[in-house]
Amino acid sequence: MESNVNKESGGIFDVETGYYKPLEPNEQTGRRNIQDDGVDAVNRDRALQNSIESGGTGDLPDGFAEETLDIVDSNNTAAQRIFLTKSV
Amino acid sequence: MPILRAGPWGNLNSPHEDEPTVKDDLTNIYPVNCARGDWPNQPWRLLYNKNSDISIDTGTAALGSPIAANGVNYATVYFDFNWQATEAFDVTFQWDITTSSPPGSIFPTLEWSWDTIEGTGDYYFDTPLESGTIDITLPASTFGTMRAYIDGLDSNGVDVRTEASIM
Repeated sequence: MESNVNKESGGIFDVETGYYKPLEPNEQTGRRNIQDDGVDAVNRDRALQNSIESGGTGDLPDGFAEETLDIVDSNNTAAQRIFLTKSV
Repeated sequence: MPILRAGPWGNLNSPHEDEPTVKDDLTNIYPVNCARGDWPNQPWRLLYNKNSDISIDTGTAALGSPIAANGVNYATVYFDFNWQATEAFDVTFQWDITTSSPPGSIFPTLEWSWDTIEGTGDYYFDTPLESGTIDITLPASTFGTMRAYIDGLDSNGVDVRTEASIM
């Protein structure tokens, strides 16, 4: 019964003990970096830290403001985009 | 790659000018358009000058809107506008010159030119028929400026009417 549970969550079956050994997160997939698993751990952690520092309110970075500006997009189409702008 | 909008009016030396109260080619600034399309909050337009030996008038006109100048000896229509474009596109210059003088008394002249902020340009001059159209290809540019005119001269000095548009 125990081995079935471990099998479903991933692990290595130890033939000597007869038990499944749980894997570390990266060992489960064999993926080591963003190219392997699509997770940019460095930027994810940085974004998390920024979110904590701003109280998680989604505030803009200091000194920046949102502005909606007109652009000429591909196929000569007039469109608008939101830019983060800051005085210099 | 998208282009950030310039204008709403301007010229090659100063692409970011406010819309002038008096729309006159003496200010040397012209509307900035997105190729042949409208901006989200500003329709396509050009600055015209209809000029003759008896009157002169300036203003703005939409794409395809005909402008007519009336004179005795001559009547000329000038068009000026700027553009921004990510791809080359065509505009059509249309004209029609009429008179009550006998056939063959009208002498038309036509000229157009364009320049871009990237340093490219083109020029054309012709003595065309009294009516017609000509396609002009304008290149992709972060800022380009175009000028065109059609002039009708009545050799009998009776009357002449020159109508033109950019389509």
